[in-house]
Amino acid sequence: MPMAADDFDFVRGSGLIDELHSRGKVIGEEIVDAALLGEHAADAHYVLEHPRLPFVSYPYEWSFSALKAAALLHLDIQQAALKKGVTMTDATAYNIQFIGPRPVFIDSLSFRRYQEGEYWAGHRQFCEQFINPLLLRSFNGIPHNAWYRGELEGISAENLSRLLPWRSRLSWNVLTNVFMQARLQNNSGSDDAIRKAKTRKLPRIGFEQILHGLRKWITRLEPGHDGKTVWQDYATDNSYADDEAVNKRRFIAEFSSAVKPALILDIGCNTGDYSIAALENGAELAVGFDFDHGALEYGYRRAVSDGLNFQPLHLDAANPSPNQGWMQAERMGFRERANADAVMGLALIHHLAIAKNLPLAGVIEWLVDMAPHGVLEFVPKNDAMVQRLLQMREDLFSDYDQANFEEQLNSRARIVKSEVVSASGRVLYWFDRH
Amino acid sequence: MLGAQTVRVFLVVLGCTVLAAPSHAYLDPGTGSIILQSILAGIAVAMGILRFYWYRLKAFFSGTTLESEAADSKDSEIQNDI
Repeated sequence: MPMAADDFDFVRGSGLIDELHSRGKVIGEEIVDAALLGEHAADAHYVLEHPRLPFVSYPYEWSFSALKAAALLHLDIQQAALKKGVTMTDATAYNIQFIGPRPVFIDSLSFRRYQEGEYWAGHRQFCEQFINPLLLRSFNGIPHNAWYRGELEGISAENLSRLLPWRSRLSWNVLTNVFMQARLQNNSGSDDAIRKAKTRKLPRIGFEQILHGLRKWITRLEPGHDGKTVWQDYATDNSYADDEAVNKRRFIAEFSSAVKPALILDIGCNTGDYSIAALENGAELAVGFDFDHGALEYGYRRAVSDGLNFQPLHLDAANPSPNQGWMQAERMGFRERANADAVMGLALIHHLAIAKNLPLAGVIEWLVDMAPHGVLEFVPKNDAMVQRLLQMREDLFSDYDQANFEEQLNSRARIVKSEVVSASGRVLYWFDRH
Repeated sequence: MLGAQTVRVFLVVLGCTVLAAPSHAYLDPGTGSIILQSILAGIAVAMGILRFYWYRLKAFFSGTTLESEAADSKDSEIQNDI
């Protein structure tokens, strides 16, 4: 029997996967007939089927709290595994996906039989892919996203140790997991050090203590330089009360109850107000995208605390996640993944067309391509927000007007309904793509 | 920053055994990570032993049994914050 199949049988026999699945921590799996895959499965001992994930996202798109939730999930699983004599072969953040705000572990082959005395194979990877990106935000106030997207494997202890403020050394956990690990890694390249390291053993109690200590520490980590007061500002800034917000919510509610999208994308979601309006009226899952890290953080916390099926992700619409990794096919770009039942682009297009100098026709095409149904908002030039965008610059946007907006939308879709939602003349368009 | 001397002291605390461990690694764990884990584990185990004797000492002077003392401090005994 191949080693992987042997481990697979041992792990399933331990009851670990059933237990974790029943608690929603790992994705469901079912052994199916190998013939389903034909010659692709000629040598396979088992063929597994998993439920399809509604949307695939990557750690460089997650907010701080989402990455933290994924880190805690990984530790929970490793702790539960150890109790059953199982360990994990790696600790990559890409093995975790989100369903709404809830992280779920997706790699069935990451589990194998634990051998007494063995080390935590994934420790360094766990540091690079979870802890170090969290520390960058927590101590330096820098969101992990851009660095993580560039360096797909996360942030090394060596690099982070050069950046963290001196006071971070006062934390025993930072001192050991970052500074000491970086130093040991640098000093340990000799054959002798490698030989010695290979012959050491880690007692199980030590392994358990390391996991427990990390769990306790990570639970306490918070994003730096934008403490809790900022989240409260987001909550109060986004008043539900004004007429414009009420009109928009009503429009989205009507759209959502007619289309009933299994997945709706909310491009420029801010803290998720309109995703919530869609979810309350027939949408099953809303995946939101925004540029503002504070808004994403608030949106994620809100989704967790209110039990909303909403996942906010980081996106710079002018520079979305590309195809990357091995053969540029390992991690899919935003465009490849942005196929949904519905899309919303509210208070968004003027930012792209005016602040980012993108052609209006291109912006509309980009949004309409994402889904067969959607709602887009046109914000006229006399609106205070557009005036603010134009305040410090020349108005080069002679084609930015309602007539051109409608013409561009009409060439790609049928306008089902439109409604003026503000005194300044903002208009919502409900469209069905041609 | 902890120096090489300190590292050696911790390793003595651990009293690490010299038996070949299985090496069917899927991932290169990194030598730095392995040495660090042995240090952290050594400290955790040492703290555990110290705690154990501390509770025995407390039990001896207060006249309570070790079991009731241990039950009271179930969490803190196991959950050593490293």
